[in-house]
Amino acid sequence: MFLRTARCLVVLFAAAALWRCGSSPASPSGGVKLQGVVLQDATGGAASASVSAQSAKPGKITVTVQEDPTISVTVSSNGTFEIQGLPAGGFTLLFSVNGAPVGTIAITAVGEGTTVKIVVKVTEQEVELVDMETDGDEATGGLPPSTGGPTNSACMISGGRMGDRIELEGNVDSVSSTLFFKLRVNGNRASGLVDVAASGASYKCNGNKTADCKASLKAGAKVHVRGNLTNCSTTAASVTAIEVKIQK
Amino acid sequence: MRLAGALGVLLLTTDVAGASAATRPRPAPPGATDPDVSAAYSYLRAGEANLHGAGASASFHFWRNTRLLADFSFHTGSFAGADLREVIFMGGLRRVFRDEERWQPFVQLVAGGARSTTKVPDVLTSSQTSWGGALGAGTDYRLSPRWALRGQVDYLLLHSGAGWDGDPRLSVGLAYRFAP
Repeated sequence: MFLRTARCLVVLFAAAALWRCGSSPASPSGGVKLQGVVLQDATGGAASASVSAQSAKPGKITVTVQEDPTISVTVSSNGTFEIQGLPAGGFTLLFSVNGAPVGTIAITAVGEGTTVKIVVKVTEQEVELVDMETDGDEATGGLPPSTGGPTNSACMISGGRMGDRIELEGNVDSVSSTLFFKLRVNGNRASGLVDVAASGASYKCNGNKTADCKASLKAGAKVHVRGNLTNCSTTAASVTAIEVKIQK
Repeated sequence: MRLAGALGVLLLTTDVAGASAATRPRPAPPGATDPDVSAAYSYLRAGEANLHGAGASASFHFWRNTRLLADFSFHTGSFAGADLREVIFMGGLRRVFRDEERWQPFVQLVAGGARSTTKVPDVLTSSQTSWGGALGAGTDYRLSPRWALRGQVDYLLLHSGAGWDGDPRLSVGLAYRFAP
């Protein structure tokens, strides 16, 4: 009887040995953890009616960290991926479909121990950041953004809190590349220029739907930025943009 | 004398009652060749996400200890702010060992597909179908001729445009064997 029971258990253990073969979160522990979902062939809901127009054909997607190309993961068929041990401060993710690079997303000013969660839409031409959340940042005492974080007085943006979503209106002060620009926020809401990482953002131009909207991002342009406040102190603030609307 | 007569009558009637019970046709207990169904809690590691749900299966005797199998499971969960859903539908063969014992281990090989849907609330929805198969092993613990506890581990190998994925699945539930 004992031998028979043992045989049953051996069968179960043999199958259980296969348990973790499917997962491959890119390794080193510590640093920043990134959890992501990639959408392909996506169709839009009420808030995003036009997003299905340029969807890419499904393909093998890889995500590589530009600062350390040895860190690379393959996105699973349900679109999920995870990377651990990313450098605190910031990093750039390069998305490739079937080996061909299609775009990058820069995540800036992320604290040690933070978990960054992103949702990305991949099309044949570009990568677009659809959603982003951060939690567990050291500066927030490990608390979720909704329950902790610096008080308003510790952040140069009035009402701003690290890890929270934020919307800002203002004028572009300077553009270092299409990936980054500095924003002078309207009124007295911010006491200084806000760094905006906009590599993965979707761009919309008021009254100009056909031309290359991204090219309209120039110094002086009036913009509305929607994104995630990844870092904020009394002297500096960084936003990873999900959407940039260029007013004129 | 009267007591002896009464006892004799009692013994006779008891004997007759026992004999009639023995001759009455009894339904045979469910055996190895009878169909069974099961319902179970199911956990699926889909990519990097942990999904939970339910599964159901039905099997029919095919040849010797081999049974034809239909398997269906449904899982949901969330990852990185997106809602995930995966429906798995497969069919194949199950080999049962020691079919008349209390512990009844089995292995199975199935082929089929999985439909995974990813939704970012109010923004985007993306769906994809993968095809492949699964190798599984488990055991039934017979509680009665009809009922059994069932534990099972599967390893799903699915192919889509994104390549091959290996996803483990664990399920624990009850199985019911039909009588003829």
